[in-house]
Amino acid sequence: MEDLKLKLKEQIIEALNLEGMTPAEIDDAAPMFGEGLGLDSIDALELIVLLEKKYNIRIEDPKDGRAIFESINTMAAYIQSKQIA
Amino acid sequence: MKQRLYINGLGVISPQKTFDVEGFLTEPIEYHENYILALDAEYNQYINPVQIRRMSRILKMTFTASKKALQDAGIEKPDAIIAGSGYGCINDTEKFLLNMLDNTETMLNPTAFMQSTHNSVAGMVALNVKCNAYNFTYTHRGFSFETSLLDAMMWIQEGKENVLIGGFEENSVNNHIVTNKIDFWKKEKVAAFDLLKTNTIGTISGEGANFIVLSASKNEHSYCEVKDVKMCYKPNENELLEALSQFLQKNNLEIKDIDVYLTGLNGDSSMDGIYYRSMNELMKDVPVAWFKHLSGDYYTSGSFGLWVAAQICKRQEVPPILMLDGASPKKPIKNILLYNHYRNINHSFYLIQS
Repeated sequence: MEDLKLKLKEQIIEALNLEGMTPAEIDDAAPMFGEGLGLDSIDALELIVLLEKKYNIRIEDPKDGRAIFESINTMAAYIQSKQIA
Repeated sequence: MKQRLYINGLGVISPQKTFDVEGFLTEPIEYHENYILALDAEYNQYINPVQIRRMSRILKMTFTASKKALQDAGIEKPDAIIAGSGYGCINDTEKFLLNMLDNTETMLNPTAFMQSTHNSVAGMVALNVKCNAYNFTYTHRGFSFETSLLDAMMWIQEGKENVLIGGFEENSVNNHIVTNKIDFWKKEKVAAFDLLKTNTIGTISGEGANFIVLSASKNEHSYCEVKDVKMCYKPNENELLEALSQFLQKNNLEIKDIDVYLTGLNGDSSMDGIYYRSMNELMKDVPVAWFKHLSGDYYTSGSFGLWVAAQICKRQEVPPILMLDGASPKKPIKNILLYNHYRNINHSFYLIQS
C-alpha cells in the first residue's frame, strides 16, 4: 500500500505539473481539493484520465470522483480495491 | 477629426534580450540553427504558482509579455484585448492530437485541449486583468498581427482609450519538420547575422510574444505614433509599388521623408527578390535596417518589427546590428517605414512616426 501511495503521488505530480513539489510534501490524509493540494475541477478530470491510463480503472460517473479523490489514502484504497476485484 | 494613435507600452519576449532589459539590442545573440527559440523570462515572478503549473510555454510567454506591456503603459485594465497568431498554441494542439492517436481517441487530457485554441491567449489575459470588454483573436496567417493592429486602430477611432494588442507564435518540432519539407527553412545551418549572404532557399524559423498597448493619448513615456498600416495580398511588383505610393500619399509623405526603411528581409532566395528588385531600388537613398536575423521568421514577425520601430523612434538610435549597410540615418528620426511580407503572400506596410 505504501508503495502504491508513493507511486501515485509521483504520477499526480507529473500529470498535474506540480512544479517543485515532492511526494514527501503530500500528506496522505490531506484533502486534495480546496485546501491541502488546492486542486480544482480540471485537475479532477486529469485524475480520471490518470486512473484510466495508468491503472485501467474507469470512473463511469464523475460524481464518484468526489469520494475517490478526497485524499491520497482514499485514492490508493480505491485503486487497490479495484485491482483485487 | 481623425484620432491619433500612440504606442504607450511594450512587452516583448523574443530570441533576443528584449525583456526586462534597459538597453536596446546592445547584446545581440547570433544563432547558428534554423530553429530558434525565445529566451524564457522568469515567469514565476509574473504568474502565481496556481496558474503557472497548468500553463504551456506559449501561455507563459504571452501572459508575461502582455503583463509587461500593461505595466509599461501604466494601466491595469485595457479597453479591448486583440491578439493575432498564425498557428496559435500549436504545441498544445499537437499534444492533444498525438494523444488522440496514441490512445485511440480515448483518455484525452483536458488541459492540452483547453489550451490548444488560438484564443486561449487573449482569453487568459482578459481573465487575469478582469477585462470583460472586446476580446478577439485573428488567425489570418501572415496578416494575423496586422489585422489585430488595424482592428485596434479602428476601436480607438471609435473612442476606446487603451487597446492591448499582441502578435505571438511558438516554434514546434513537428511543424518545423513538415514545413521544412516544403522548403520553408534553410536546409543548411547558417549564422543568423549572415542570413543575407546565403543565397539559398528558406530562412530561419523563429518565435516570440510581442505585446503593445495602443492608446489615444500621448504621455511622456509614449514610444511613437502609429500613423497607418496597409495590407496587400499577393501583389505583383507593380501593384506593390502602387500600393506604397498610395500609402505614402495618403499620409502626405514622399520617399524622401522616410528616415529609416525597416525591411522584413529573411535571406530566402526564392522570396527576397521583391525587396531587392522593387523596394530597394525605390528606397535606395533611405537607410535600410532589418530584423529577422534577430527574431527569425514567423507569421506574426511584423509585431517584432513594430517593436523595433517603436524603440528606434523613442531612443532616436538604430543599433548597428539592425543596419543593412553602413549608412546611418540622419537625426532626428521621424518617419519609419516598415515593410514586411510572409512568404511573398501577405505583404504589409506600417508607418511609424516619432
